[in-house]
Amino acid sequence: MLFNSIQFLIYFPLVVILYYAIPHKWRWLLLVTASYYFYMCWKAEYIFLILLSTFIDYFAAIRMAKMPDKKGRKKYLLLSIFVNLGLLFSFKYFNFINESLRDVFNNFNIFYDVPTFKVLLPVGISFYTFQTLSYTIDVYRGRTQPERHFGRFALYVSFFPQLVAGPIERSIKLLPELRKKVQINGSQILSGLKLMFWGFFKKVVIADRLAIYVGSVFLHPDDVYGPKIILAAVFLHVQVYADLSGYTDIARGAARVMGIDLIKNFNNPLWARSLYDFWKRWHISLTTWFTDYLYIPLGGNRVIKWRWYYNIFIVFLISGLWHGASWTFVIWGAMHGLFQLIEIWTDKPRKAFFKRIGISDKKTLMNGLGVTAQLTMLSATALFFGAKNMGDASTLIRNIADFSHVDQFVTELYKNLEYTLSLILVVGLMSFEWIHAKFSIFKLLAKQHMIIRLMVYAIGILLTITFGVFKDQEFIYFQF
Amino acid sequence: MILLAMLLAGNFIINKTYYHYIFTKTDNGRKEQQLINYQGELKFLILGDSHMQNAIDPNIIGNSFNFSSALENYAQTFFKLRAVVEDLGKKPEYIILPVDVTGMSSFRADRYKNISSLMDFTDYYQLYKQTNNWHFLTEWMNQKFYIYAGEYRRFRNISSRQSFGSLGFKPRTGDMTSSGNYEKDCKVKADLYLSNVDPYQKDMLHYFHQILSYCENNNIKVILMKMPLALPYVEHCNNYFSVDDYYSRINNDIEKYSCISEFYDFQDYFDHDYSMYRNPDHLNFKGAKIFSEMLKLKLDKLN
Repeated sequence: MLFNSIQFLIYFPLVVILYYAIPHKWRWLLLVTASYYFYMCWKAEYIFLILLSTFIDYFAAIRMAKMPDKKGRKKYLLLSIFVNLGLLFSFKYFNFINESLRDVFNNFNIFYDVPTFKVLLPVGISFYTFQTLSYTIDVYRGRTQPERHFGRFALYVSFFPQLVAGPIERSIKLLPELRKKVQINGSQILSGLKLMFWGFFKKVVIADRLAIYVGSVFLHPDDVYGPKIILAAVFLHVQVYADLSGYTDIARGAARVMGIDLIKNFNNPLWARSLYDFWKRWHISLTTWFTDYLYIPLGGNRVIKWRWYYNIFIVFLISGLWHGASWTFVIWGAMHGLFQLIEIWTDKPRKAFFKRIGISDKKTLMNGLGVTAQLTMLSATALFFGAKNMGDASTLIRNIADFSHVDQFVTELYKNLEYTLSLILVVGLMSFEWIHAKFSIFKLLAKQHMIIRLMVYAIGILLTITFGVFKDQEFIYFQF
Repeated sequence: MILLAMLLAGNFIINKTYYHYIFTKTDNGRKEQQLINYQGELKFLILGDSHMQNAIDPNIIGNSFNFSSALENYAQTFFKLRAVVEDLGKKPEYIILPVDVTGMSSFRADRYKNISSLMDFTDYYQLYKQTNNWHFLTEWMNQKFYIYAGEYRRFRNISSRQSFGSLGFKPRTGDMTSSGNYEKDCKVKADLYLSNVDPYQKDMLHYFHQILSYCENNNIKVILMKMPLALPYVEHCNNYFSVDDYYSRINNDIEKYSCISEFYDFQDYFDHDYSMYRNPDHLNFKGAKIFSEMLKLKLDKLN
């Protein structure tokens, strides 16, 4: 069931009404049932994968809590890791590795006959497996006690607002939220609905509109040239942001309507001043997951330099693979790792250079340079993020240097209303995010007279209807 | 309550403005107005998709109207036919319907999403019941309450004075041979229409039969037509499934209908003369003129 669908429009109010109508002690049952139904609307049989992960991790955590030392707990942690990563490997990575091996063996004329696993990628598998793994690892480390209420734990794994595309919640944060007694609170419900509407706007007006231009380039790499590809790469970066942050806002808003607080997953990443800054603001729940459960166990930056660089690169490589079982995503991750390292290696020389030319104390200029550099690097990586395969990616890179049709491109840009609107939406979103970071637009709006506020909401809804794309467009991160 | 009142008022104003000043100025909107204003005998009503829209000139045929539209599928044609007969009170003696190699495919079944200006006729609630696809409930709500949803581009039409053409016909320029590589164009087109599709999608088959049943029950005769297609395009279609078998199956399916007056096969009509085509499956204005003149001679012989 998509958030931007009529089924959700019927389902969600029904769940909320029942949620507040029934006693607190039974709300977990309602939400688990609603969450399982939400997931099964997509593909019913895949609920067994969530159930398997839930049972194993519930059992493993309870057993770990009974073990006084880590040695005893280790086998249950390994069981949890084996099952969750096993699910991920089987459904997401087996075919990718199998086909890659097939290509290698075929190149050397060696017979290779392992069949492809014909299976649909379960929606949300990358998210809920990581979420439950964070729980068992935290129990193993002694950071949290296991949840003994099976139903509540099942809800932690499957809570529908964040089940299929995050945010990836830590048990330390979400389980207490699910336990707390919630009273009906009008302003909280309104706040949640406003957040949902903002997420919906970002998805159907911005992300899905940009997708039209982006699709016209990435689906036809042979027929496009320099400026078109560059603009598509920039648009894709903004499209992914609007899509994922839109989903997150709808998820957080829906949870807030029910009095449950989810982690803020984005913090104005479009205006990040470096790649390092970007990853502190983008998909925060995933970045912190990789930091806590991969980067720090590898040693983080508390190791010798070359090992530190290796840790950074490996984490981004695996992050790329998490996003998709394809060499384009591996390259995407590797590029991010490499750019991070280049940023580290050139930090001192850059600072010295800017000081020498006398601009190091000009904050606005330095910030502007930082933002431009960050957007440039991210747009470059977007070529691999958006390409269907390595062949398409190479075609796009080959064609990106073709600037022979600039005049045709400029004409097309202002004559094609769709492209003009896309440009306006990108500039508009970035401007809004910048102003909102400085002046908190929503808080400013809350201070205005009621009639003005209501007019803004009404105009916002009508603009969404007029400019929105209302085909059944999945959220981009569903494919991860 | 105030917000709801603002929304309802704003929605009402935009919706009405869109319908009266914009929707009626889209190609399909203008065509609908032409049919509403059509006086005289309606012997032949030409229905279907762009294959028909670009190819049959009712000014040449006489006593006819070309009410086909680009991307239209059989479901939309059924609802359109029913609306023309029952709502507009214009019952033709014959309908002329295309039977194309892609006509029953799942590619066509997905095309509703692209045609907002046919919303006036399409019964989305029935489509929802037939297909169990929730998307059609969204379209039903769009049709009833906010026809302007997602249609910001069409607000440019508000000042449009463009005319459409005559009797629904839309001739097109272009010459398939000018691209220099029409073999490749034919393959690209076949791949676009037929890769990863079901050639006998159940809803398309259902509505094809609904059209024939409706004609049977309302004494409307049906002329089925295989429209001209470039030969290399047909050869590429054969890579996906046997085109001959496809038509054999359709022939078997339609045997029970007594309303079918003729089933013309014009697929190879232009043989290797690709200058008559705009692209592998659409005639240009030159091809349309010759085709319409030939068709008129055949139709005049019908009683």
